[in-house]
This record gives sequence, C-alpha cells and structure tokens, in this order.
Amino acid sequence: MKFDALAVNTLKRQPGRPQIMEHWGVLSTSRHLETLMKLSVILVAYDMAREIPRTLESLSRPYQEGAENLEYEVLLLDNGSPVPLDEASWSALDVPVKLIRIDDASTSPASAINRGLQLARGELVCLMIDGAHMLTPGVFRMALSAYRAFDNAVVAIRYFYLGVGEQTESVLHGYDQELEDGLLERIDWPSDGYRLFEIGTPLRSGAKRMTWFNRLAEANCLIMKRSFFQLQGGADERFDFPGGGFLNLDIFKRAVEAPEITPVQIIGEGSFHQLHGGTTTNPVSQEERREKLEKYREQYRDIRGHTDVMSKVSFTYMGHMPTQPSNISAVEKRRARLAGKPFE
Amino acid sequence: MKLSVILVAYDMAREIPRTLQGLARDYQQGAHDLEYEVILVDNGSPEPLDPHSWAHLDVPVRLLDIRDAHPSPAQAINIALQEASGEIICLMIDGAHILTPGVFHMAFACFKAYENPVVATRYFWLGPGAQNETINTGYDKAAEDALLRSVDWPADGYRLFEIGSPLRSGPENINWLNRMFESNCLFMKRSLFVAQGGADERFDFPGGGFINLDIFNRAVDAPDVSAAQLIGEGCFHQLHGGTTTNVSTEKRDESLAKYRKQYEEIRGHGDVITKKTFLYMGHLPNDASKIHRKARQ
Repeated sequence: MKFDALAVNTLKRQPGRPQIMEHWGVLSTSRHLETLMKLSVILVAYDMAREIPRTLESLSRPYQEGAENLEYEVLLLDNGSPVPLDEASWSALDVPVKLIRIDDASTSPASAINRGLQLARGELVCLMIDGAHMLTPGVFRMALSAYRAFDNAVVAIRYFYLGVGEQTESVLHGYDQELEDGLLERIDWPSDGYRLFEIGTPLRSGAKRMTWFNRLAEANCLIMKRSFFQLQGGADERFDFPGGGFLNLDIFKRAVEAPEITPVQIIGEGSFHQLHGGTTTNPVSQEERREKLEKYREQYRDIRGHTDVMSKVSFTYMGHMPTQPSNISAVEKRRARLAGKPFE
Repeated sequence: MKLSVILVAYDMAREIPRTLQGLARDYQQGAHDLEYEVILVDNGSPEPLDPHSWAHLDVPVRLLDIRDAHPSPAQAINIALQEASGEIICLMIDGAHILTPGVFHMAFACFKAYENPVVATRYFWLGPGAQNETINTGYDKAAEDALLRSVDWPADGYRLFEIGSPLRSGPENINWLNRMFESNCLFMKRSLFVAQGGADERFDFPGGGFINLDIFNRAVDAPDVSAAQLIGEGCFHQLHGGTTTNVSTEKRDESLAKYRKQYEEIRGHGDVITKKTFLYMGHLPNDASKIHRKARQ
C-alpha cells in the first residue's frame, strides 16, 4: 500500500527508505482520515523481545489511568530486530498495538520514527524512541491534563533507570536482567505501577542533586501534537548512528525551543529503562562510552552548527506526588544514608 | 464574570494598597481583559479604609464597609460571597498578602487541567524569616518598606521571592512539593464554596482561629474535588497587627491551643491536615523562586 498517498503529513520520502511490511491489514486513505484518534504512541524497538511485553503492559488499558475508553494506538516499529518481535508475546494484553516490521532497517531509529509519524492517526503523538521504557500509570492522564491547560504544550516525562544506580554504572557492578526481573517481582509489578519509583534511579545528566525540577535534556516519552511534530519535520534522518546518536536530544531540544510552545515537565510520573543491549546503556567500558558520545557530539555539531544540546527554556511543571518513594529527593537522601555516603 | 476575589481587611490602611496592586490588571498576567472583581471587605477597621489610597490603581475594587463587625472574618467572607458573581472565588482571608504576578494565570490553568480543583497558593512571609520571630530582631514596617524598594516592587513581582521566606510548619526545610494545609489565596468554584455554606461562623475568635484551615480542608476533602497547589507563585504576608502572625511565639502558641480546641469542638476531630494527594501547577520564574535549592544552604 502507498503511504505517500496519505497527504496528512509533510514528510518527504527519503531515497532508499527501507521496505515496510504491515501487519494489520490495508488502510485506505479515506479510512485513515476518518479514524482520527486522541493519541498515537510511536514505540521503536530493536532486539527487545524481553522488554517489549512489559513496555506494552505499561501502555495497556487496564494499566494507564483513564485509558479504558481512550482512543489511542501503539505503533510498535520493529526496526529490523535479528529475531522479529512475536505478537504472541503480548497477545494476552489489552493494548491497541499495531506492529510494523521493518526488515531492511537503518540502524538509526530516525526513519522508523518518521514511518510511525506517517502512520499515526492521533491528535497527539507520544514518542518513545527506546522501546525498553516502562511507564508509570498516570502518564497519559497527566499529559492529557497538560493539553487541557496549554493547547501548545510539549510534555516531557522524566527518565529513570530500573535498579539502584544508573545502568551505565550499575552494569559494571553486576546489575543484569535477572536482577531486574527480581526487582520487578519484588514490587509485584504491574499491580501498582507507582512502585517503580521504589526500584528505579533517575537519569542524572551530571546533576549533583536530583529533584523533580531538574531540567530535562531529553525524554524517552515525549508527547507533542502530531501536527507540530510534522511541522518540525519529524526526526532528522541525518542522525544515522546506530541508536540515533544525539537524535533524541535533538528532537527534544527543537521541540521545547519551538516558538509559541509551552514546554511541560511532569512531576511524579516516569519512564523506566529496562536493561537491554542499548547502544550507550549496555555493559561497555566508560572509555568506549565516552568515545561514542564524542562521535555523537561531533555529528550533532555538523548538523546543527553548535554543541549546545541542553535547552535553557523555562518549563511549566504539572503533576503530583503519588507515593512517598516518588519523592526522588528524599529517596536519594535515604539511599545515600544507607550507603554510608555523605550527603550535603 | 470569571473571578471574584474576596479580600478581608481589618486595620490595614498601609497594606491594602499594595495588596490591591498585587491584584491589578497591569500586574497580574492576563488580567487586562479578565472579567473579575475584588470584593474588599473592611471588617470594621477603627479607621475605615480610604478608597483614595488605591485610586491610582487599575483594579476593579468593590468596597464593602462593615461597621459593628464581628472580630472573626467569617461573616465578612459570607457577606462577600453573597455579593460575588464570579464563576471562581479567590479567597484572601488576610488582606495583607501581596501576590506574585502569575497567580491568576496558573490558577486558571488548574481549572482547565484538573477536575473541579481547589487551588492553593503557597504562603510566604515578607522578610528574612517567620515574622513572629523576626519582629523580635528588628524587622518592622520600615524594614519591610525598604525591602520592597530594594526589589523595585512592583516592577517585577517575582522579585518578591528575593525578600520573602516560605512559611514552615516544622523544622524541616520547605520546598514547593510539600503538602499545604492552608492558603491565604485559595481558589475554588463559587458553586462549591456556596454548597459548603461558605465560612462557618462558629469560628468566632478574632481573626477566625482555625477558620482558614477549616475552609481549606472542607473544600479539598469534598467529593469529586481535586486539590492543587501552585509552584513558583506565592502570597507574601506584609507585617501588620495580625492575631497570630505578628505576635510573639509564646502568645501565638497560647492562641493556637485555643483555636485547636475550638476546631475539635466544631468538627469532632483534630485532623487539620488533609490526606488528599495534591496536584501541581507552576513554574520557576527566577532563581530566587527555587526555594528547594535555598533549603540546602
């Protein structure tokens, strides 16, 4: 079927775009336009057979508050995984998934995101560039609240790692998928999704102290109006490193800095990264990781003409503090005390 | 109309013009075209408030002058509530509070974002600490005037954070996410406040005792109400002869014990802090507004 006939976006077909196989039948253009919905989640996966069922569970109707009657879709882009994702692994879940298998994928998720954007029917898109992130249960609810208050919002959800410690570090000290499974069992996930805060650690981005007010540099769950993301040109496919390099930072910064936008950070909700073979998060030495980041930074400079990846815009804050452990400042303090570390 | 501010004053000739400036069209963001009114109740001040003192301000004030007033503000609130025509009420039970410029804007954002919200604005003291304490170490009205001049108020209302201190409810450091238990700038739908019977006039102590806590608790604990509190906006208490705010801590503690007893008699329990989870709305407009950082110093 011809997606280029879908005149609902401004994306241009790139030469050499990979072949797409659709797994949910044929949509006509007219049907596509008729079935506009509230929200399209664009979820990109590569080699995440273990992680995707949990990610989808966290996007499911019984898990996300207010999703029972929400018109939404999860566009799951399998970006050329060596072993294709198996729909049977989430068939028990009540989540409106559409699997899009990209066989001849580029190693960057950029074109997969754009394919998702082309297919999306939601008024809003929720971009999850790294499909290994599980959400807390109020993400949809809070994001929709933000749009009621601010028509031109861009809504960012804070990034956490599963486990005590940032995974880039903790994997060097023995954190692995088995331990992660144990942690999730311990909080009886998914029965109360907010218990993820008990077993997670916020991404610090070098900050000395973590509070909900720390400025985000990126989000693995970023909600925007679809029309806005289209006007932005979607993901810039020049970010062609495996994993995208600074693609996610670039999407985030361009979105929150766009004119007339109200950037919103949500308090008390998070996306939690499951350990998988990510390009910067898997067990590689700090040296290897630094080298990679340097290459990414160079590419960013080549494309944007600067390396100022951190936005300085003022954020609006919305949200809540659903549980004691969602008070990330207090948790940090307690963990430092338990570890016998000084805490200023 | 959209909003009725109910502002109760007693013996606040010095403070009211600044309070009204904090509510003026050219000060509150988005108030230029807002349909609102400020119902200023002079609750029997010995010297009645003089409208000339705010004649230079662009603020839609209606003055209700109550002679032979009751020393509690309860009746004054209820009289104003009867007069109010706003869809939303902003209750300022202590008229000596100056607002930051985004209070209306952020409160309205709550009404759009959240279901039937009760919106609380955080309470600050003007000056370096709790005024009960700072008045013992030289803080006075002249010092306050000088502080306000030092930040060129009202040119940039967010500079109030540079000269104010958040109300603490204990020894712990305070931050924006701490749960609030009362507010001197409380928004709710007028229909909700009316349905609750307004202020309970049994709270008859001068100043009202725990009436403000009571109004807050009953409102946020009502069914189908969302409790919300603002981040990066505040109401700043000017020094005046308040019943608990500007007396020594010993006298204040004596009064608080009486107030608590009355609250327990009226409500049948002593729980003055709601257990409801609060929703947040706001921003951090300048460095001085980052009170969570100040707390670390």
